[in-house]
Amino acid sequence: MSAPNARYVVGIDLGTSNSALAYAPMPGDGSALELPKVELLKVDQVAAPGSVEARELLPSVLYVRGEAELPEGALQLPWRADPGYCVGAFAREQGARIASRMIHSAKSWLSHSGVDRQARFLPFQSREEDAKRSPVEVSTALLEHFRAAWNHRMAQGDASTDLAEQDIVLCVPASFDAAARSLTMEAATAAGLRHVSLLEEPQAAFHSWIERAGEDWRKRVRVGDIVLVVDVGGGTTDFSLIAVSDAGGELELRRLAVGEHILLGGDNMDLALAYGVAANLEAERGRKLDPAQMAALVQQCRQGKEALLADPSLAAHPIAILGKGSSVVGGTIRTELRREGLEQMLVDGFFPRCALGDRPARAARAGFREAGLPYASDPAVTLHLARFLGQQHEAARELFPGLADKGALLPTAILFNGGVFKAQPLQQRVLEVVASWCQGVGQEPPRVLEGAELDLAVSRGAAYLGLAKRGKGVRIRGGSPRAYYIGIESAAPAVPGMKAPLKAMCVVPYGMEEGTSATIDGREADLCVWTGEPAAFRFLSSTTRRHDAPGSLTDVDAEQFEEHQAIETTLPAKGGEPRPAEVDLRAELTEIGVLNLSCVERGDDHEYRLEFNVRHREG
Amino acid sequence: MHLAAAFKWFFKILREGEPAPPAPVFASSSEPAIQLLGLLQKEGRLVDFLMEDMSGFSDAEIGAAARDIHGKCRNLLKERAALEPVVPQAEGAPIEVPAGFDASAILLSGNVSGAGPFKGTVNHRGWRVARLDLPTVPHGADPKVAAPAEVEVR
Repeated sequence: MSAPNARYVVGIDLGTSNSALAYAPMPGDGSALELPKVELLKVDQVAAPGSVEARELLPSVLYVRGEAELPEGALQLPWRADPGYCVGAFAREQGARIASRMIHSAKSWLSHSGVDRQARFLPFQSREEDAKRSPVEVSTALLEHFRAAWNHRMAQGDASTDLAEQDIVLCVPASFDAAARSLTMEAATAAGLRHVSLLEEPQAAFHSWIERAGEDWRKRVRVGDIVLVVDVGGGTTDFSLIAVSDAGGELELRRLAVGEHILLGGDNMDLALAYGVAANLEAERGRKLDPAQMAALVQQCRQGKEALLADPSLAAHPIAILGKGSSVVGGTIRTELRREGLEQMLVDGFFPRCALGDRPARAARAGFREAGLPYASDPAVTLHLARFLGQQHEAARELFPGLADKGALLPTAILFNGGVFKAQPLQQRVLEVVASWCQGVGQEPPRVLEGAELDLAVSRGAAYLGLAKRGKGVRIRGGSPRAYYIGIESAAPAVPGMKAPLKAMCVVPYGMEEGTSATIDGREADLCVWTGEPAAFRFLSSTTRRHDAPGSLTDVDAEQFEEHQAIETTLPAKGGEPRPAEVDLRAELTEIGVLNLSCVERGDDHEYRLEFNVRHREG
Repeated sequence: MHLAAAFKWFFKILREGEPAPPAPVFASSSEPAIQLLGLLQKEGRLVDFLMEDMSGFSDAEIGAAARDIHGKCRNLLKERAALEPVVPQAEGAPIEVPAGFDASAILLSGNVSGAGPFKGTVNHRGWRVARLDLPTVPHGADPKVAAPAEVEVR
């Protein structure tokens, strides 16, 4: 949805751990060819009780104050009195002291289809009922904060500069499914943002690389390149493949594939190091750390990791955890982070050498997991990568029909994103592993696209895309990263103890373009719903099936399909008795990247929206 | 409130809706020196360090703690203050101090006679705090507290 009166294009990275906002002035008509510069908003936020500071990162954490633990007015901001909660730096600091009132990783919950994402259940398993918020409400609070901070700094009362009036590109993980994208949009709407479109984070990272490379980027990629974006954030790992092709003499970029949602990131690495050190301390010296000391240890392990990985001549990084109470020297626990331990843990633990045919260990799947976030059960990023590339061999056959089947689609170039990759040895290991896979099938090893900004690329890239949409830069063509299906239970004679076999009917084909729609004739599958009562369809998707046409029926195999929460609608009975109504389905992928599904009664024009996030009903 | 003022407000609110609530006020500490001490304590445990009895500890023990405390306090100082030398010359370099110099900024020693100018050598360049940003504090916070007591609730 383009903003008619926007004065800025704005990119927002709503990260799992940290968020950021980048912006550029809207280029005027017929202005110079030069692209406007993309800048980061300094976000005013509560930094200490009663004190506000501006920082480029807004930690994606919400803290709800209790009755007594903070002075009055502690969470006030220049634009509003203390509302009883805050987001950002102080929310994270205070949440480390009182975890039962802090909500973090709301974004990971947003993509967790096993829970009602509009229900107030966060902080997870906390007993502080007054602190409870839904994942959507937390995302809304972060976006509201961005809007208020922007208006305070940039608009200063000028209505036309209100963030609500600007052209906003909001980033989501490529692995977000249709429901998570739609909920993200809902949060943006609730925050009053009116002109928002969605962009996948790895694509944003690629746009940011283009922005930094300037016109030179055209020389640094070639027609036929397959670029692998490896994006390891604080909490999630996201893969995408982007193809470079020739369209009438111009380079064209197309996103070929996205990976599954993997809850594994840099925070896991720092924690793993800290737990390793803490376990040693307990085993060797019988010293137990309290939560504040543990937090300090995680911090020091992060610094130690960066120092050791940046300077190969160092053998160890000293760690000193100051004593509890007021005795700092007396209680200090001294130890060190040693290179062997670090490399073993990080490089070999998170990025092990492995074969292209290897796969990550999987926890037994038992339907929806209700308890906690579905963290990746295998910490090996390279194994997840092998699985992702292996899943794309169908795409490989399609793109290179003449070549022998390599069992995977292997990249010719790699773009890294995420602060984790500031450690060169981690980049080198990924490169080495992918090169070994390439060598195995007789392909040239990939090269690294140099010059990426690892930390703040996503928000910057999103702002760049905002410019690109105004004809001031290059766009990556995407389309739907998944094919979507509804589950049809076959009409088979009932056999005790046997479930009716499930078939999948394609409703959204892979790669369906933004701004298009498809109508699926319900006659073949005999689609029928009772009026006057909720009708639910089982809902599935696949990131690997690329050739199913809308309306086609296939058998469901667990390797290729992922089941989501059922989608639901109600056709009104219109005063009459409930009756079975024959329906067709309509799928629309909007320009802004949101999928809408609806039921249409045959011979009627009314569309009834199929809802993704259905509230759980009692009983 | 006078009746006239009440009428004025009544019609103003009728016309324009509720008046906007007053903007929050951010208070500065009445004891900025204690506040700075508090910041050095919060960031780097400096007060704990200075107040601790060092007599029983080895140099290595003190060194390990000091490295951490030094790094954190230094970061705080870099972030909150801009420290610059009072004189531009390097230490050991010759300097001419003009007549009418600021005696609070330059400390003379040695063969000082008359009103200047003086020729000499820089022994110490001095420090000037060009900028110091102290955070605002909550209303009613006790300005004498450099570090709050910490209590873990069971």
